[in-house]
Amino acid sequence: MLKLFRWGGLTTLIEREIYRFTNVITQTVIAPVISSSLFIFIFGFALGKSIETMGGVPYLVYIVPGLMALYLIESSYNNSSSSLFLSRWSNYIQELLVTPLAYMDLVIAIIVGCLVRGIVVLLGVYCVASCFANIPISNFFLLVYFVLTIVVIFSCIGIVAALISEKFEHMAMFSSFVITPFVYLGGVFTSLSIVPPLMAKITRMNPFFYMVDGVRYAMLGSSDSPILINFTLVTVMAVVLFTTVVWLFKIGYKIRS
Amino acid sequence: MSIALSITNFTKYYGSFKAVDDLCLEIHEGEFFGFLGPNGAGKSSTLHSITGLSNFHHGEIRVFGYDVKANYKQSRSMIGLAPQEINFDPFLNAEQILFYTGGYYGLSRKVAKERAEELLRQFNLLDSRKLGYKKLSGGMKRRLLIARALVHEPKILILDEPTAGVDLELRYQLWDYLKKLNQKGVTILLTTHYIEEAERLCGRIGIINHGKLIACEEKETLIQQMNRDTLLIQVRESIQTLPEKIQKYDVTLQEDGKHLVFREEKSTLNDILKAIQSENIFIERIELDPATLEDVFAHLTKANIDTGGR
Ligand SMILES: Nc1ncnc2c1ncn2[C@@H]1O[C@H](COP(=O)(O)OP(=O)(O)OP(=O)(O)O)[C@@H](O)[C@H]1O
Ligand SMILES: [Mg+2]
Repeated sequence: MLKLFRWGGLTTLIEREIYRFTNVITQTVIAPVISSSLFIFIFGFALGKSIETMGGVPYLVYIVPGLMALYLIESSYNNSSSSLFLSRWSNYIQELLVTPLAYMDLVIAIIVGCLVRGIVVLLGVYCVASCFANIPISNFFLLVYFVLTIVVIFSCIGIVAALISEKFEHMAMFSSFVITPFVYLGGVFTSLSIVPPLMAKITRMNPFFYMVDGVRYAMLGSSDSPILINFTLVTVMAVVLFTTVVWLFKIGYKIRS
Repeated sequence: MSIALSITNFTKYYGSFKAVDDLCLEIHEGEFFGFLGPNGAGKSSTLHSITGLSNFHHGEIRVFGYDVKANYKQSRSMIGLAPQEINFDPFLNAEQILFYTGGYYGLSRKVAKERAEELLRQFNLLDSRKLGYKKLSGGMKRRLLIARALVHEPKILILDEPTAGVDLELRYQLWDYLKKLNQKGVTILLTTHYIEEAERLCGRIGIINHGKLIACEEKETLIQQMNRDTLLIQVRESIQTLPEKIQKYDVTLQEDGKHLVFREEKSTLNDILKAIQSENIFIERIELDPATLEDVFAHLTKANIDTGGR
């Protein structure tokens, strides 16, 4: 008779999630690394010569943490939303629902898939940037913590988007009207100290700013906002979103008829 | 014998629409149970609630004693479902679909590989193992669907219209396979619109209509209870109007005026013949068609419409 290793089921599902994105690796990993290289080249290398320094470091070095946060956010959101949306769309989600996998397992597998993809993309961005400058990591553990929480936050947002959306368009709309503008206006390219006061004020209301800023602190050792605030904010967001998503799966929102 | 599946006072709503109404059903271990009903009767809704695809808030469903909500891990690991709708993983090929499903049920990699291999062979899918499901033919998809339901060697196999769109040869093969599986002790719950299929395979039959279970008996009992055979009498000279003595039976006169079709209980056979003789009608040929499950099904689901289902 069959044994009930919860762990076994979960690892298989994680494996499947990783297989899914590696299957379309040009789109999921190579494309973001290439586009980040363009940013690094244009802003950091070509244009950066005229900006000299920002926040006390060369401009190229200044934008790398921001770009890393940006691509981590995009890849987490895209990964979880498209994975789950396709599962719903093809009814494949039903194959999982009839197995003994817990709803918690389903959520964790998606998040771990996002984490793996995010780390691969991050390493890509980091390597490209390292070709042009020496990129410091001042607090490795803090960096790991921010990477983890950002992945949790955005894979959960992606899950919610995939549950709400009834068409691919809905998800794309959410991505281009919410995620992208907020993230790009979240201080990826500029320090708050050099933007007009109104702009700085608006940026401070943008939750994405604290994530970008947190990653920047972990790497460069300095940030616009106190690290404690960044830390607390991402932690609260991650916990709230994760709990919400687990609850949605538990009640079977849009996945159980 | 233990009870494989027990459903008590199960009611399923979609919003305010009641799809299944106070269903009670027990299926014993080793049974081959046929769950029949017209389109939209509530069959799939019931099966989905057993397997975790649907939420329900009224009634209780247990699989070998395990509540499908409270102990869903145990209950689901004992069930294999071949659903009505195709729901394969769009990123995997046939072989991977079986292998990964094995993993989801907690099989080790080695066992899952072996099971996948074995099922591909049994279901004649070895040549298509590397194809994604979109490249499989309709019949292949059905086979893969059933194979997938069997990866973890479930104790109960639930088949929601497994032979829809399947050619005759494959259907016979599947029937054979299912019979053998059942003989090995696997409890099978089958839903189908091919009444013949149920008649050949199933021991007990439940008929659901408009969400209500309207019959649940041994197949033979059901047919006997119906007790309405079809009696065809061919006469030499065509009859214009039926004599009164004959009219009182459930009879139709065919257009040529030479064929009388009675749908009556066996016990009236003698009286019918007497009545015909007394009218001096010359009988050329008599044919007696025993009732089939199909007749029972038609009779019961029709009667239910007459008495106003929903
Ligand atoms: N997800 C759903 N939302 C709303 N109504 C539904 C849903 N699924 C089924 N129904 C309704 O519930 C009723 C029973 O449907 P069900 O799928 O259980 O029928 P069935 O007996 O399996 O029919 P068929 O033989 O056509 O497969 C139908 O009236 C159907 O329209
Ligand atoms: Mg159905």
